[in-house]
Amino acid sequence: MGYVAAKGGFDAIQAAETLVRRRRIEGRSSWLELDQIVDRLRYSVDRVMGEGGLWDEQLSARAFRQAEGDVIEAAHLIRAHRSTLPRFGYARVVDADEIDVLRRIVPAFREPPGPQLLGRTLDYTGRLLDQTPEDEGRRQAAEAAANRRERVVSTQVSADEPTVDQRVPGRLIDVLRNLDALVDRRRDDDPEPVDISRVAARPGAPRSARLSTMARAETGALVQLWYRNILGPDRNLHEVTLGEVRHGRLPIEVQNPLTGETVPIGSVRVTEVEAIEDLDGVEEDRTRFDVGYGICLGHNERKAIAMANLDVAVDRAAGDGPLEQSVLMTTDGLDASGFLEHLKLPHYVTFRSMMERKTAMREAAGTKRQERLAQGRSDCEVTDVSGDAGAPVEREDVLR
Amino acid sequence: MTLADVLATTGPAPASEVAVELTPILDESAKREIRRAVLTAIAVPGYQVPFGSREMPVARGWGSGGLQISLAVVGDDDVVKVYDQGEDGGVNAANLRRLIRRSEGVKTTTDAREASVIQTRHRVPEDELIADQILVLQVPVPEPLRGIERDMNELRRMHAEADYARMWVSLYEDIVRNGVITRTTGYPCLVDGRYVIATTPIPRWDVPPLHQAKFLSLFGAGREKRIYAIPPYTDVEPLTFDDVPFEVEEVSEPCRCGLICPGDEQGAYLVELPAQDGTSQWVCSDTDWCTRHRVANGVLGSEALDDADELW
Amino acid sequence: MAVPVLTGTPSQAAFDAILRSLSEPGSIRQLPPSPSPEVPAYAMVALALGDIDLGVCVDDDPMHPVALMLRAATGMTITGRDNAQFVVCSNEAVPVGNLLTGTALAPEDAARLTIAVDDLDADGDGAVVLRGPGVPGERRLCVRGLDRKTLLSLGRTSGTFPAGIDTWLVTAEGRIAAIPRSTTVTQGEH
Repeated sequence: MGYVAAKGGFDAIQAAETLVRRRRIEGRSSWLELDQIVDRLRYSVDRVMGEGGLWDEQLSARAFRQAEGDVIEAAHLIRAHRSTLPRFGYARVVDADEIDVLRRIVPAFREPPGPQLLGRTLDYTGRLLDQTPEDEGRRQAAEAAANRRERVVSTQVSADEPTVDQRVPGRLIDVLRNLDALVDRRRDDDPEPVDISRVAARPGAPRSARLSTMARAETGALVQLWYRNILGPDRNLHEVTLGEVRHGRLPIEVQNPLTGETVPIGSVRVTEVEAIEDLDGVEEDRTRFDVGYGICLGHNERKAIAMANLDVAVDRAAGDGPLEQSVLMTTDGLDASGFLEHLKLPHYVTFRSMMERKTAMREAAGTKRQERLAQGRSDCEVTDVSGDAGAPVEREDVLR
Repeated sequence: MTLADVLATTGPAPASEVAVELTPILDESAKREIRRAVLTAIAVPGYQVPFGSREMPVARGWGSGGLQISLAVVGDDDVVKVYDQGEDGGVNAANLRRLIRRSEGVKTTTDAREASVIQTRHRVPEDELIADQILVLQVPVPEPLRGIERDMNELRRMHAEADYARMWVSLYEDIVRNGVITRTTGYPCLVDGRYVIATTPIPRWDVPPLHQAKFLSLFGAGREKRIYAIPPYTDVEPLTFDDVPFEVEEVSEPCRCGLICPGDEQGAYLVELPAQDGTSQWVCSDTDWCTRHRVANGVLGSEALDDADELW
Repeated sequence: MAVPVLTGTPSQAAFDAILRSLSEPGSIRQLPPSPSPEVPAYAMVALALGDIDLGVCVDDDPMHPVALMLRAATGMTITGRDNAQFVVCSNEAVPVGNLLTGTALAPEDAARLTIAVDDLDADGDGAVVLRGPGVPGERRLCVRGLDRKTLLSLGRTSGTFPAGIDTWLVTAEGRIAAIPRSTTVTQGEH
């Protein structure tokens, strides 16, 4: 049994879904192909994969299209999809030195060991709005596509392609280590990384949980937390010197459960950052540097840099102060947006309870006033209670 | 454009399609993890058990914790009720009900007496629940001490040592400053004499039914990744002082359903419906309960009650 | 031989009995039928709740056929009992001490113990009395095939709560009762 009026909510959400679907599917333009999104909206797709915590360009493009370009919404679709999938096992832990770089810069030295490979970056593109007419743009795209086919057919390696050695460069951190310029935080045991999709990370969590949390965090949240600590009231951060900024491919390998052999199953693109921190605390080793680490799926340097700086800052704070909690608990895009938007849900039951306490406080204040009047005191502040509760000092608590 | 226009041009999906094909939301391994957390929560009443908390098809803060618990506990024979602020017809309740139904293939109802699992946001049903019924409460903020302490390590310590002194001090200061305890919903309660919990934001009206209840209460906070529980027959004491009685929300008006006057035996939690002219009506927030009473009272015809189960 | 993986409806049905037995300590519930002859009823708790990240220990014997079955069906690792999330005892002779109990900061890090017993009854000779959450007043439970000293050592032990062990007692027919760490177990009067 049920009561009939309860069907209203169901009808309303179905109607809302119809409105959503109508614009999403009908639109007023031609259908948006997944290839186009993967190919032309690369940074968005990378962000969806990074914040969704799943490497799949086609699925992420699909989510991005379904979310009509809302990155957090798309990341939500990807993560909810993940929840439905069984987990068969874990990939082998991969050494980040196996990276095949597409871009690598070392701001700390003019000529570091290995290449400075500028690669594909927006950093030095003039930030001028491209006003090429649409027809001309289409013509250029078609021409470029034709040229590309030609290049592929000729299979010629162009002279400016980096060689294999350059693709797998050494690390600045090793140079510094050899110079004995770094404190060594490496550990001898080799604990399994914390899987934050299965364990709730909370302050005191191992570093791997902190890094995983930031790798999945909302980009804007990390940037904001970084900037707030640089310029805002928190001041937990110093500006670091970047030792490595890389974008490249890392192999993914699993162990064949039957033969025990390691089998490559593909690769993921990552952005990796090492940030050099000047230790200047009284208790710290002032003769050396420390290093923070950032890595995330896709090409997202903003995020990886903020992450590396926050990583070392949390470590230096060593559980003192709120930074670790801020990193672990407040940077997830889905958590923050979901909770913010839940304010749109009905709250009339709770609001009614709040109204009732306001009345109770006024009555209590009125009783007090009468008691005081009965004692023959005159107090103009107390008599002025036409609307609000109690004396002015109470106001702040009432509203909190 | 109105709702009716939309429905006229497109029409909702046929009800039969909704019921047939199941769309699982959680895999077996996720269910097991939630089940283990639920068991720990029952074994340590009131302790907030951390769990992985999967992302759900609803946003964090919209009942994702309650949804995960419901999906993990229900079976083929269960009949599920989902309601929000006491209202089965609310859009979020309708959405969660639809998701549970499509994922697990369970039957649904609006009648708390027929439900074996009741997922709720911010209310406990007015009907007296019985043994073996499970109440799943959606929790936005599971930490009862957050108002007095923000540091999570310190909060863990306070719960581990049952060090609730600062909570008592804050309640005392509240009375001194305001003449009453100003806590509204989610009133802090001591469970089994050991752990202080946040009673979700249910109104204080709903707190006494939790004490030595016959049913099991499971609290799910998806965003904050915590599950806690009140087993049946367990003490749930609102924190207050011997000379300051715990106060529930009272209204001096009757519900428009006529039968129920607050203060009489059948009192209910009422919410206000203000009108433009400054007057207001009061109604029960538990809509199914109210409808049943209005039918019994002859205010509504019996057609207001229907075997509406197959409709959504 | 097929691995007796428990999933979907049978998995939920087993959990349901486990959950309700724990919610009302000492009440006797019924587990669903075992999915295969190689799964004794006392292994059902671990079979229904075990997972790839967890450890299991059966009778302190890493080669116990039930341990091997549970590993194959759930992906659990076979460990010593001082390191196992699921500790399974096929008979009362097996010692049940030295298990994970969790701590006040992390009560969730505790072992779940299952002991095979001959019979369970709501009352009878030698019944113990249970008190605590989930018990209206007190509830009597008569357990046959379990050493009395062991039975009285289960549940709440002084000074350790919220650390402790949650125990399920299971008969060969799948009748199941629980004694969580919140339950006080005392001698029944004679």
